[in-house]
Amino acid sequence: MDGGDGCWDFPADAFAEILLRLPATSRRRLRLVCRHWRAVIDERAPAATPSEPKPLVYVIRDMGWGSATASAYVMDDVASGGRFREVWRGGPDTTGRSYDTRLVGTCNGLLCLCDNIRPGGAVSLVNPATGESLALPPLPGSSGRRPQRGRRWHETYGFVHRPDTGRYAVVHLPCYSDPTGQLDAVRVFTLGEASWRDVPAAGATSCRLDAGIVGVCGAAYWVTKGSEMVMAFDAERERVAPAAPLPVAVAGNSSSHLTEVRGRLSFVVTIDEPKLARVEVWVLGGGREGPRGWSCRYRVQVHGAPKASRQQLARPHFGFERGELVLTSGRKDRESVVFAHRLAGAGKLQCCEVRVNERNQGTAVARIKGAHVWTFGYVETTEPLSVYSRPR
Amino acid sequence: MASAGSGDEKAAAAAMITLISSDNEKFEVTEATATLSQTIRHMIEDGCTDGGVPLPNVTSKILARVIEYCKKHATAAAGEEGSSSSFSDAAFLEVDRAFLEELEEFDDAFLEVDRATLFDLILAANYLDIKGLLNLTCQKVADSVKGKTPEQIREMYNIVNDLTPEEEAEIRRETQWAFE
Repeated sequence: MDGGDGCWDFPADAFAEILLRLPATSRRRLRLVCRHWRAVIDERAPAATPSEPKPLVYVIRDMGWGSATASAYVMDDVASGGRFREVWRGGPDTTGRSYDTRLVGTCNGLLCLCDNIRPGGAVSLVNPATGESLALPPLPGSSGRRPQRGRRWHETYGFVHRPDTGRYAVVHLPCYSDPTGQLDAVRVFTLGEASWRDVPAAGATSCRLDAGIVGVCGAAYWVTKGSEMVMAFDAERERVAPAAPLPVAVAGNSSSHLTEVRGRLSFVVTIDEPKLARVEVWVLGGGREGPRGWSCRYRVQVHGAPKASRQQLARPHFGFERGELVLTSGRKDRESVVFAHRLAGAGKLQCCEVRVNERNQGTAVARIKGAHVWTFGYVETTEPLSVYSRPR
Repeated sequence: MASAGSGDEKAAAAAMITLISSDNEKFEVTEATATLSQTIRHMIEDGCTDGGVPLPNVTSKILARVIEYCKKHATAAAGEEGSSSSFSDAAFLEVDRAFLEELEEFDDAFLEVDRATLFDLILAANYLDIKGLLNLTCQKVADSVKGKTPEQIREMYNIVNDLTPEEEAEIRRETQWAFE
């Protein structure tokens, strides 16, 4: 920093006086300015340490005749076995039409929901702690469109929190009935703005929707159609670019998807054998790095046949408590069950081994009859949504 | 306490202090004005203000502004004390509000300065330990930073981002779960 006119050149105590007049969240964001700012904030105006997200289980209960209800449960007291608390509930309205609202993703205490019955998927945000909700404007030009064969609208959306501004964005990948999954732009809705905007992708890209669209640290990630590459939409720079090649080749007998573990983009690949599923979780960046910036942080072996009744890593988020709590899900006696597995020392750099079999299933923390379950991260907040309902 | 100290206060108000800026300009101010600065108050208490108070960190341009602020706020403080005994509660509240409004207008106008002056005022307020002025000027800068992205702040203040990509990624991860 030079001492020119109006340059930021304060002794640390005067600087701290300014910082202390900002909310803690702003201070945490401003650690990104430069090393000096980070040091002064950490030493003289520390921002509260971020909360550890709790597991949130999203449940769809099939009521027959195309009808269903949905609930979101948050797992409290994870250390002492876990207790679930319903924080949100949804179901068909009185018109009796069918119900298919899915959870796209969570950021902090906000849930991003998608009503698959509406053309294009109607996206709304909910804060269960305050009961507030916000409906996003419909996706322009989506009427008459259908998502890719076998996929639903919610799979075309991602939910992103921007660390630089604290704002939220919903991302939509417009891969419709075109079987190639090609796309030349990403559609974005930033909270507080009036409408959806298109951000062109430099050179056409594609998306494998079944691998998920995952929001991590201000960017949305997806896998290209041929499983060659992880692509990213950087919400800060509003740019679509390749993030990294996949760490391992995805073979015919394997399935794979993206997730987030401890704030890092992760790739889960499952190889199914007749009596066994071998799962690897590769984490991008940080730690001892293996092929192309990825490191393998979990190896999970699930014994059991047939494949359909095997436990699997909970999706889309399986890792909690600094990565020391791993959730799996499975079906037993027509119930969906969420199992917890404690791993000592998973915060360390080495790869964790988890073995799941008949005798060692983990601790069943939730049993839900006739339901499908997905797991997400959640930090209860009281941040308002009403401030966004009148666009600036 | 008002009656007991009133004689002394009058004497104190009449006492003058000389402040000397870094460029050697002399400013005569009343003790009531000068003691808005905790730093100067302590010097007065220690009896080391004879021959003037040198302020090697403050230029005459900035010191003039600081004195302007202190004069206004010292008058306001004195006015408040005087009014409390001579008006009924309702009238007092009325006067109080008028005072506050006038003071607010003064503060707003006072902050209409370029960024370099504002920063110098913060440094002076910090050095002289003038709580009100420090609060006023720091809040102004805090407000200017509040809604900005780190990139916008770097541009505004010519700050070079010397964080490595790894360090930046680490900070982003720590900001992932952030909330009010």
